Amino acid sequence: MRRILLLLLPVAALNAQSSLEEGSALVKQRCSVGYCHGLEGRAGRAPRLANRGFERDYLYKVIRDGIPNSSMPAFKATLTEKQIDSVVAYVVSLTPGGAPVAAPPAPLVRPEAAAAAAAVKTPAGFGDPARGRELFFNLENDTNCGVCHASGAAPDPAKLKGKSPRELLRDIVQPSAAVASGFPQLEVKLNSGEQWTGIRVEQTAARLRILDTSSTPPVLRTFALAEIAAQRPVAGSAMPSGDHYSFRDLLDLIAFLKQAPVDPAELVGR
Amino acid sequence: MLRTLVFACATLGFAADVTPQRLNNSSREPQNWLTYSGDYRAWRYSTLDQINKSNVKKLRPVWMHQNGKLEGGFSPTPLIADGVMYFTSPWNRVFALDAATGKELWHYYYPAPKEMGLIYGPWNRGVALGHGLVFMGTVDNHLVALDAKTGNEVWNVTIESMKECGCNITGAPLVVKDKVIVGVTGGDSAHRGYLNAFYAKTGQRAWRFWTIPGKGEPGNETWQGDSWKYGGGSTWLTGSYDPELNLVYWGVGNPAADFYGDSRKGANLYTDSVIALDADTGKLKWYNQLIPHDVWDWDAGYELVLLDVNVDGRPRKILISPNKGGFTWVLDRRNGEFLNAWPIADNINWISGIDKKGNLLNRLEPKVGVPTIVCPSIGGGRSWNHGAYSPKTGLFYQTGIEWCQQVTVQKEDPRPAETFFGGVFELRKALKGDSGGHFGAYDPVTGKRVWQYKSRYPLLASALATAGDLVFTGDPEGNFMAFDAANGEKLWSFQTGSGHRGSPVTYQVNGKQYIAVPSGWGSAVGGLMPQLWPETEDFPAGCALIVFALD
Repeated sequence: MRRILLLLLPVAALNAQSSLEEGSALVKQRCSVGYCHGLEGRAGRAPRLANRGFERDYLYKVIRDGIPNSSMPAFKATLTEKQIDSVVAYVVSLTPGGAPVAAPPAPLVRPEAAAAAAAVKTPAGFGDPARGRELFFNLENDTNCGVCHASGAAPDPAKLKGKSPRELLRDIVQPSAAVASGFPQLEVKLNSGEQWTGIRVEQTAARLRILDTSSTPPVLRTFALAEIAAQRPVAGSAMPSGDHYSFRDLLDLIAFLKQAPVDPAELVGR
Repeated sequence: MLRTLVFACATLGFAADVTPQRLNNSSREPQNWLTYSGDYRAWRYSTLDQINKSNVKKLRPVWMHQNGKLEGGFSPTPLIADGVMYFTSPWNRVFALDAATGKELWHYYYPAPKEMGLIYGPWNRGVALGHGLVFMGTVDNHLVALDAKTGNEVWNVTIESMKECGCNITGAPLVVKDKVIVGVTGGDSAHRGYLNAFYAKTGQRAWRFWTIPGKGEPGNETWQGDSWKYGGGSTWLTGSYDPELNLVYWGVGNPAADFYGDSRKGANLYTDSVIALDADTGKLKWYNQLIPHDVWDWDAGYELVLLDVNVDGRPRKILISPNKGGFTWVLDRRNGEFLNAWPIADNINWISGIDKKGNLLNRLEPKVGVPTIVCPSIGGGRSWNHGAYSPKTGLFYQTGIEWCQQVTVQKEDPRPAETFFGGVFELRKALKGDSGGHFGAYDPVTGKRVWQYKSRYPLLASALATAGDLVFTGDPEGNFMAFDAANGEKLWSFQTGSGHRGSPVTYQVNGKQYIAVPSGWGSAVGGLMPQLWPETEDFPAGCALIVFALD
C-alpha cells in the first residue's frame, strides 16, 4: 500500500506541475495581453493578481462567468473546465503559500454540457457549420442575418436550432411563408407626415419602437405615442428573402443553425 | 409663472439649431464648443480672452457635477451649444446640463450590456451635435441618436454585433453636412476595420469605408493570404473635415496582430495611414501610409490638425498627424504629399529617423521569441490625448512621454472577436534621461521646440489653447494647470482630486467665460503606469465635471 502511495505522489506532483505550466501559458496568451492583466500577475489596467490571496472558488467563478459591468469577460465558452482549473492553479501560485494541492478540485458539473455530449450523433451529411456561421454574421453581405437575429428583433440562433432543416430552408428562401409569431410588422404614420415600417419591438404607455429593416444595417426607431397619427399591422415577414444564396450556402447556413451537418433526406418530404 | 417659463426657454437654445453652417464656422462662435475637436480643423482653440494670463490666478471652481461611473477614466470633451453642455460618462450615460449653473436638464442612460469583456472601453470620449439630435457611439458598437431637447432615443443602429466582432465605439462621432460619421475600435483584435457614415436624421447608412481593402480591391495585395480579414485598421478617434475641399480626414490604426507580423507580410494598407475621403460618397481621394507593415502598434489614429501655413516660403494647406510612435507627420492635405516628420520624444528606437521622402530608416523589428527593448512603450511617445494649436502664437501644444518596453513577439493565430496582439510587453524605464512626461510648444511644421514643461508622470489629458495667451492641461495627480502660451510659465494650478484623462474646453454664457474639465483617473494607459511607478496603482478614480470662472 505504501509503495503504491509513493508511486502516486510523483504522479500527482507531475499533474500539478503540468497544470501550472498550462495555466501559465494560458495566462500569458489570454490574460496578460494588451491592456489587461500584467505579466506574472503584476498590475496592468486590470487588477494585480500576484500576492492577492484570492481563493480558488472565487477565481474559478470569476474566470468562468466574468464580472458584470466590467471588462472582465467570461471564459466558459472558450476554455474547458480543465483549462480554467490550470489558470486558477497558476494564479493561486502567484501568492506565496498559495501553492495548489496536488489534486485539483473536482470541476463544477455543467449538466447541459454532459447532455449535449450525449446527444451528438456522429456527423454524416452536408454543410459546413463554420462557413455557415461566417455567412450568418458576415458583415460584408448586406443581408447579414445577425443584425436582426442577434439583436432581439427576430428569433435568435439558439431558438432556430429547434426547427427542422426543411423549415429552416423554407424560412430562408420564403420568409413570409410562416412568419414567427411575436415579430409582427407595423406601418406607422406620424403627425409630421413621415411614414415608417418595421418589426414591432416594444410598445409602452409612452413610446413605440420598431426595427426598420428597409436599409442595412436596420434602424431601431423610437416614437413618442404623441407623435403617432396612425399605425396598422402589415402582413408578411420583414425578413429579406435568401433566394440569392447558392445551394451550398443554404446547406452551410442550415448546418450552422442546427450545429450539425445536414442529412439531405431531411430537406425533402415532411 | 408663464412669463418666467417663456424667459427660461428663450435663454436656453437647444441644439435644434446646430446646423451644418454653424459647424463649418464654429470658430466664429467662441461662446460655444460645437464639435469634439473645437472645430473641424481640430485646433482646440478659443478666441475668448476674458480669462487671460493676467487674471488666470483668480480662476476658481463655480460648479461641479459627478456622474457616478468610475470605471475606465472620465474621458469626454464636453460640448456646449447655446448655454447647454453635453457630455458622456463611462458606460454611456449622457448628460445635458445648464452650462452656467450645472443644473441637470436631462440625462439618458444607455442600456449597456451587463457582460462586455472587451479591452476597449467602457470609457467614452463624447457626443456629436447636429440636426436637433445628440449622437453617441456605445460600448457595444451601437450608434444612438437622442432628441437634444429631451434626451429621448430617436434612432439606434447596431453597426456590428459586439460579441461577434470584439469591437466597439469609444470615440466621439463627427457630424458632417447631413451625415454623422463614426469609427470603431478592434485594432488589437481579429477584426477588419471600417468607417461608417449614417444619414443624421434617419439613421440609414450612407456609406461605409473599409480601412482594409477586400479581395479584388486595390491594396488587398499588400496583405499576405487571408490576413486582411483580421487586419485591425481601427478608426477609434475622431477625424477632421475641410468644407472647401469637401474632404473628411481620418487616422487609421495599427494592423493586427500588433506585434506579430509574419503572417501578414506586406505593407498592410491602409493601416497606420491618414486617409482623405469624399464627404458625400466616402470614396478614397488620397491616402498616405505613415508606417508600412507596422509591428509596434503605432496607430496613426490621433487627431489631424488642419493648418494653412507657409512651408519653405510658400503658403500650403497642410495637416499634421501626431503619431503614437513618437513622430508628428506633416502632409499636404490636398494630396497627401509628405512634407516633414518631427519627433516629440527623445526615447525612440524603433527607427533611427525618417528621410526627406518619408521613408523610415533602420526599422527595429523584434524577432519571435526574442525579448527586445523598444522605445517608446505601447502607451506611445504620446497617448491619444489631443494637442491644441494657437494661431496667435503659431505653435502646436502637445504632451510627450519618455519610456520604453520589453516586448516578446509570439506567433498567434487570429480568433474572431478575441484579442490579437501577437506578443506580450512590459514597461521599462527610458533609455535616455528620466522616465516621465512633458508638455511642450512646437512649431507645427519644423517641430522646433519653444518651451517644455516636465512632469513626473506621463501626461494623459488634452490641451486647450485660448486667445487669453493660455494653454491648459491636467496631470495624473489631479492638477489642472494653466501655462503662459508663449513661454510655458505655469501661472495657475488647481488640485481637482483625481487624475485627468479627458479634454478641457472653454465657453461663454451671458457674457461670462468658463473653463470646463473632466477629472477622473483610469484608462488603459493609466493602468500600465504602475509597472514603472507602483504608487500610481493607488491613484483614486473619479467622475467629476468641474467648471471654473474668474472670481
